[in-house]
Amino acid sequence: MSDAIIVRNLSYRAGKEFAIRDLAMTVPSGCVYGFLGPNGSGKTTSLRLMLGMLPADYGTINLLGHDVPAGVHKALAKIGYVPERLHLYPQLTVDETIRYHAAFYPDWDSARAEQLRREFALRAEQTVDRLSKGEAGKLMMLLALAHNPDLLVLDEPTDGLDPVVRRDVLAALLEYVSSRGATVLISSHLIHEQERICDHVGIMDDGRLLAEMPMAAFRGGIKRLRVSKAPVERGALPFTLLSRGVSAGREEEWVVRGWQPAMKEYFVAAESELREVIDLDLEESFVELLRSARTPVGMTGEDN
Amino acid sequence: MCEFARRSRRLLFCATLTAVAFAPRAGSAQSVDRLRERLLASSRRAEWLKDSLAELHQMRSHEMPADSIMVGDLKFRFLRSNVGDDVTAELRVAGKRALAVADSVLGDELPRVARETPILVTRSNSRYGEILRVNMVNLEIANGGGRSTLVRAPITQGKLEEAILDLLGTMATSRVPSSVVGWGGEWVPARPTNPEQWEDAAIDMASSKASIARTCYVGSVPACESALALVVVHDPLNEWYTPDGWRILVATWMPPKDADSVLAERMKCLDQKVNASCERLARSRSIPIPLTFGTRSTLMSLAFQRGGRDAYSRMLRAQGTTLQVLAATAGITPDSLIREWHARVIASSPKSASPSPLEATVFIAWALLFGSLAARRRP
Amino acid sequence: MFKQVLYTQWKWSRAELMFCVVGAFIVPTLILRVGYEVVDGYSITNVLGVVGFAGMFFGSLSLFTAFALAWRPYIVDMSLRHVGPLSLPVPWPEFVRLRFLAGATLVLLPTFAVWIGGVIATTTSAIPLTLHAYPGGVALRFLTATLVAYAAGFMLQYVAGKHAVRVAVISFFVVLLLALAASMLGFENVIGKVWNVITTWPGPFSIFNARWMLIDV
Repeated sequence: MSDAIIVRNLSYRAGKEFAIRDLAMTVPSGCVYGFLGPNGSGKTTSLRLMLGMLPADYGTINLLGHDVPAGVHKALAKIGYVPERLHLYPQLTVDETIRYHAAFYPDWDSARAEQLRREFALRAEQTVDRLSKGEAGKLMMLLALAHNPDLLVLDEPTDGLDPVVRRDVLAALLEYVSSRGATVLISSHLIHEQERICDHVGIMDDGRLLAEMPMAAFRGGIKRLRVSKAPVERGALPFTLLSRGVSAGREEEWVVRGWQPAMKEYFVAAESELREVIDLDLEESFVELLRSARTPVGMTGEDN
Repeated sequence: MCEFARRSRRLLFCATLTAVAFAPRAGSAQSVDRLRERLLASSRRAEWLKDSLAELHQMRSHEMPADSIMVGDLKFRFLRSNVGDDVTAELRVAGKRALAVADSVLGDELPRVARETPILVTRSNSRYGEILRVNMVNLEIANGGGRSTLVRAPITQGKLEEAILDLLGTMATSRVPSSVVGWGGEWVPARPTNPEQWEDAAIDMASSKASIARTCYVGSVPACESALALVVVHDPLNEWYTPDGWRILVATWMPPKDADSVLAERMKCLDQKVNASCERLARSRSIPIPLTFGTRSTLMSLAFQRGGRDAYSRMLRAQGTTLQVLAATAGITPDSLIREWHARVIASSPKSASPSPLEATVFIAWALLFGSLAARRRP
Repeated sequence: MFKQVLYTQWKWSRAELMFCVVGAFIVPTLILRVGYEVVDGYSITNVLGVVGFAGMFFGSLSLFTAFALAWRPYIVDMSLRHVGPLSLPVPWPEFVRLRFLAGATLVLLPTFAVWIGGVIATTTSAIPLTLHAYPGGVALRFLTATLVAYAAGFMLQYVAGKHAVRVAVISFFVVLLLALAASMLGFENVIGKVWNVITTWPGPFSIFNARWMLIDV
């Protein structure tokens, strides 16, 4: 299976405060890749860099086999993009907006566009500036889907939408993905939503990609361990220790990544007692991952 | 110089007294004898003023500044401490360039014209506040009755060259037959006429108040001669102007504010379009020659150009009417000169507003260049 | 693609364009009618003065049209952070070219109105024997001048981006101050020379520096 997006050593600086640092990321073809991260972590900037809308300071990007920025317009013909904010001309009607976009895409499917317009209950003569937030979101999704793209890049597509519209939009997206086998890169800070639809995740924070893994590994790979008589000298750990803190008495709580049942042996060898292994849900895992990135283990107050 | 200044002030005072004493008082009844007496006194006073002025210029010429440079046959006199080396250097170059230009008009006579009298150069430095100064250079014909021209900062070779050419024209005028000088606006052009002047002549002719000038524009040689005031005209108002023209003449003259009868007549002419009123008012003033001095000077210029290097010499020797003198200058018959001049004026009519193919191409190229530059920067 | 870009440009600028079209159609006739009444219509100099006044209107209309067409598209795209054009599958220079051509095409509308308006104005006015009507010439000059001014405005907008207004205003005052200082200090006026270069043939704005005369010698 080839990769839809390959990013290597990507760096970009915007002002004094914010930078994307050494981003390396791979989105396999045919997968739904959740791009997670808190607000301001650099998700939107990374997506805009990948689509050639911002010039990278350093690094390489390959989109559907085309190098960015040289061949980005060829790649964009096969990409459906839903930006974070409305990007459509306010004075145009829904119908005019559809016709405007149709003119630029060689594979535009007018019948499909019309079908989606009806499904989304968008009125053709309504001007864009009169659309509700939900309607605008649906129109952007329509425009992203109507030219049968191989890759969908969705930047917070359901942010601010009510649950009914969100369900409609996601249903259309999933139907398209299942019927076409397209790749989806979806950025969001709504973890639960991502959990339902993504099979890969990448987690951004402060302009860096903290982790990239299959959803299953992310979901099952981060555990909270309750350890008695925890060793002071940790030695070589068989897992990644994300955080460590005192829970009650002489008991400690460790959050670890890459946990396997056979790793219990480490505690036996260290003359400690592993009392409990607790599964974390996606949101807890995400929070622990961010916390560990922001405050390394040896630095926490609880670590003493 | 001090004596000159003192005498000048005294002369100005005398002139003011004379003007006050002999100014006619509106509404006062004067007998013809008293009027004659006053006129005679006035004329004596004018003679005295003229003599005083001549004396002053004579005195001025004795107080010539010490330093001088020769540029060809032109001599500039000045005080080096006043003028400075920078302006002196500019004068040398400007003088050379002016002589080259004037040579194409005055030809073989130029050295004699240039040698006639030196040009006095003075530099002044007016202060505006603490920091700012404005440099000015004055060029004056010695013994030229105060004829001078002022060059304001920035002092450039181009400006000095134009000033020298103006003075050379003035110097050349003094030897030309007086009838031609009066007709040509008291000045002989020392530089060839430029295309803008020819274009102005075409506009003047086509839009003249006088119907005779417009008839000239259409192509009548006698009409051109008349419009240029080169033939004797017995009744200029009727021969040059139509009643509409009279009305325009009246409209362009401002009547005295307190002359009620004139104002009433003017209203009759302009508002009620009574031709008799227009004619009466028009005849009360001198009738302007249909074509302006500027337009007439194009004819003189053409005569110089047509006549070649000895055109100006021929003009100095020529006799007869103005038209005959100009024809002699050009070395062709009067009719040919007028015909050639008319053709040149018509050819110089302003271009239509439409850009020429070359212009259109260049401007479209500019637009495309701007358009392509716009695409070079991504947002 | 061009048709759609043209359509969007039309939608943004149609109010200003219609204003220009109606103005170009009616104002020359009005100026000549009223002008002939106010001044003495039998004086050719006065007639030329009135026609010259109408010419000032054409020059101003040309600048207004250029400004209206050049300013709008970039402002709209800028308010949407250019996401729309940049996410389309066309290279940026190609998109800018389409936008430029769309605006240039729309210049034809007021040009046509100038021509028709000029024809009406001159055929309904008494033209003295020595003068001629040039509605076509004025329309052609209007077209060329508007294109040049539009292209210059378009370039300023797309090169200076969101700072275009600031750049234009600051440049204007800087030039004014330098010119003033240079002339007061008696230095050779470099700015004046630059101004001369751009406003005299073959400088780009020399197209405005001409006789915009519907009726002329």
